[in-house]
Amino acid sequence: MQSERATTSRRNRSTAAGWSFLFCALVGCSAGTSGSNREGGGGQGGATAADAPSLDRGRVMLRRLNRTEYNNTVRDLLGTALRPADKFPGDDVDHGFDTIGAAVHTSPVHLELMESAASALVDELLARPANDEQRARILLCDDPGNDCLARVLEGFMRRAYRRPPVKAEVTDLLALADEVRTQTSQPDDGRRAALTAVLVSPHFLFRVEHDADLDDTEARPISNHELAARLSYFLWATMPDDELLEAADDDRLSDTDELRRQVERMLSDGKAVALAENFAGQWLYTRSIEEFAPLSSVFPAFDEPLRAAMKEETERLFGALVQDGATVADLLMADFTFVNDRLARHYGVPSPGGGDFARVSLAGTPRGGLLTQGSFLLVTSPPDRTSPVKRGAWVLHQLMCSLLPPPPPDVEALEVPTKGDGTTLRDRLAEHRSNPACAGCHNLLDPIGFGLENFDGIGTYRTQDNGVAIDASGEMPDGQSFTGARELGQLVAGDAAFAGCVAQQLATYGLGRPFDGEDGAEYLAGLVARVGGADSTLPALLLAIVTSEAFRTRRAEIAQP
Amino acid sequence: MSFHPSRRSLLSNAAVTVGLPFLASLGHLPRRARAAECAPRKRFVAWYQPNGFVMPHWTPEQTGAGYIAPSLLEPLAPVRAKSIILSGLENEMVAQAKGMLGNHAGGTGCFLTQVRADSNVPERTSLDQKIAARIGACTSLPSLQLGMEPSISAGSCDGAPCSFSRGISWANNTPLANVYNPAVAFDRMFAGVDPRANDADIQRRRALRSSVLDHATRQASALSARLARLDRIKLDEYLTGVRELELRIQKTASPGSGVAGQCAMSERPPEKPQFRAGVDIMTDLMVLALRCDATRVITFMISSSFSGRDYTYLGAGGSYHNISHHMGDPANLEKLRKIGRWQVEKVAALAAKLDAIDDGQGKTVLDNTCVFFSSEIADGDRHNHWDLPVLLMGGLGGTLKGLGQHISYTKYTFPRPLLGPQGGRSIGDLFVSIQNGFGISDTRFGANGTRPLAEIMA
Repeated sequence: MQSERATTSRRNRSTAAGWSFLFCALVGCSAGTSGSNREGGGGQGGATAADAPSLDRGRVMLRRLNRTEYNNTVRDLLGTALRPADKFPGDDVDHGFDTIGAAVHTSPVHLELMESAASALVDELLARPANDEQRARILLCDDPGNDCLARVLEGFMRRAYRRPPVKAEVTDLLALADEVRTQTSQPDDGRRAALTAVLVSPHFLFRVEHDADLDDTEARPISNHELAARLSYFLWATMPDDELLEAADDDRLSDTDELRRQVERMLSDGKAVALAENFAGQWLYTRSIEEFAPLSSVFPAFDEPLRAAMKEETERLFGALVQDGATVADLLMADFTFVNDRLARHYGVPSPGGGDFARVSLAGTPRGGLLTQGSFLLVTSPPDRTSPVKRGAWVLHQLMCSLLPPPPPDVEALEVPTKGDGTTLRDRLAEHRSNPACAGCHNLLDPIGFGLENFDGIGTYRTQDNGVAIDASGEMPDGQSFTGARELGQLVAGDAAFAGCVAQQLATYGLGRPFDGEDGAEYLAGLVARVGGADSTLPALLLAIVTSEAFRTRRAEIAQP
Repeated sequence: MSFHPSRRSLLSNAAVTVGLPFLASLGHLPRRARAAECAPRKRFVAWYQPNGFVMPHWTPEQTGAGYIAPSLLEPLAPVRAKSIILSGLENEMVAQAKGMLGNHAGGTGCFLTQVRADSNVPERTSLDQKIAARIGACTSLPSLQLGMEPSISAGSCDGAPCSFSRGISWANNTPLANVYNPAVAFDRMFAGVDPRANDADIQRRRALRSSVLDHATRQASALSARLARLDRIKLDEYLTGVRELELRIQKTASPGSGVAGQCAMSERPPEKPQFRAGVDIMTDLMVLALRCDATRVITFMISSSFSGRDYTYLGAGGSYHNISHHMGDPANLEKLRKIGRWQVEKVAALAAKLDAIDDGQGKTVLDNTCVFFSSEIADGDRHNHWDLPVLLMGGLGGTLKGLGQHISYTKYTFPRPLLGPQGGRSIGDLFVSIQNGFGISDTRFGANGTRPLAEIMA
């Protein structure tokens, strides 16, 4: 293994053996696609426990809470139903996620809206009746004076800053309260200003982590409170709860067993739905399902209840796979899903009845796993048809973490026959693959997408396209052929690159930094290999990430040349 | 109720010049308004249109004032005499795809900056922000970024960080996020101006907000000292926002001050209008902002290049982006022409509205404005960044000439192929011209702008 890696290219080294040639083929899409390069028979990748790769050189950057995290955090901090971040501008996304420190920016409009949100949130808190549970929890004593305010602030700041405040921070806010009371002559305004100031503080709005020594570029353990925040924003997309904060207060999170216990506890909490919504939703693109509008003239069956059901199905399935301890491969192979009556009708499976969602078996149906879910099939389709190109690119990019170059510039107009009698989309795309400028990549992309042609642009199962029987045979870039979605799922799940890619997606989301460089991908390939690759359970993979050196350490910035 | 002068209010009087000396990145911020920059009033609007046009329906075959308007330019008729069609401009060198970067992200990422959409470029300031750095302090809001279609909430962004395709306005490498919600934009424009509030309410609110922002500055300053360089840059963005907000609170502190007070009485627009109505609402907001002098610098993205919007209401059903990959199909080309014509109608409507507002001395607001309208590519299939569709509207306070004309920079004489050849003047040169029109004497812009376009400089 070692010698093999030493002789392969930079990109090759970032993947497990089975797909290593693929990167040659994809970067520029110019190399041949012969299957003879396949090595290792889909083994578990380039690393074993014996040669665990060392931590990559990546670094976690200071990052503002994104919109989801802001809304969730004020919900848990204040018990409010307000969702102020719905009005914030969309968050910057890079490497597929809105959690990337280098990409998320704060523009003046963010600051304006966060400031007005803070004041609205505090106004709402103070306007609640005195017996309101959440209000009473924050306002431990309900007196506008500073003696009481000091107690209130210590508790509130600890939760808002996700660490105990230092004394000077409390003193500063008490002075601020004094000043404002004097200025406005309204006793309650001191408290109002101090609480608002906490919600505008960078210690609340940003995920702050400190380097013990700015010149020390070795990976060093982060503090327990920093670790608690990483953990809660990873699994819950919100602030740590009391139990997690207490564990951090007691320095218990340095203990791997305690970390394991916390992960298990957190995954069984309802807040873990955030992992399905935000991680899976971005990874699988399904979070964008609200923004797709299939043409009613082409897809008269599509309606809003179906859209809502598709979204919920994916979240429920992902959540169930995590809860049940299913394997990474089960993401693509699960032979069950969750449907309500509307979705059951769409899928042609027996209705659960009663209007609610129920788990149903997919055995004996053409469906199974994420690749046959309506949500995925919809968000990879234009409004009026399917796109084997998009679906193929999605499989390679999102499931295999392969890099795909964009279409080349200045390609002369391609004359692709429009939908005439007796042609399928497959026929029409064949002509565009005959253009040498496009063929390099599309010979890799399209044959994957063809395997999903039995599912139309809203995921309805079909056997004909434009009156002609569908040919759902396809081919992987390494030459392995398959027919239909289930076989495609098996092929992808069986390849070591898949498990490494899932780990890469999870770590990128969870740590807010890319792992797609050579050393990052290799590090995660090693990590996932040690828990069994695609046979690892999802909780075991999550735990492996949380207990990894990458998750528990940070390093100072490497000096710029 | 009485008010005692506090450390805060004493500081605030000096806060325009006191502040955050350790933050180099604040250099672009307007510090204080000077009369020479604020009068006469000049304004800038950049209107981004994705996915190019059917260029044969855009480019006139004749140059000069007598050109015959092709289909896409017909809607300009009411303001044609105050518009300039520029052909043959390009930004191929900075916009073309390279590595994993796609042409839409490449073209949008440099749309107003003329530097490559690459995170490693150390300096990235867009034309609107260069202008805002000069005249932004004349108004309560230095600039306003508006958009119509929030980008989708998951999916790839053409091989680049999504900020390169989601926005066009950049201040020192910080992307300035678009506001898509008209009500939020309205509140931004008139923040702090509550025509119903009494003086005591306003003073109280100001004291609260100022103390909160003071605290934010103190905390961030202390934190910044403990951060590594790249983290500090992130926190600088926060501090820039705090400082801009402080300035705004000071500027809008007096109740119902001037025109803004009157304008704030305007009806607040809806939060989430339908797209078609929303374009008109955003257009009216831009007109309101310029008329009321809430800001003088606006960018607007009518759509995004990845938009799959269905324009059935224009007789152009299907995914907009997919249609723009027309593949020479006459049906697609006709749909694209209809969509493009509607988009030109919309920017023409903005210009006509600005032209209906008296700006004194016999001039209209349009006469003192420069509206820049273009797309990140020319043709949806070729994804080329040369022979771009470029439209200027307004005279920029008499600093522009050539109004009413079609001016071409292609190497061909007419009749010429539509699309023309590569190798025309750089869009950067156009931006030099525009910045010069705003009194910014710099003769360089971005990677390729080196000299103004003499043909349009009065």
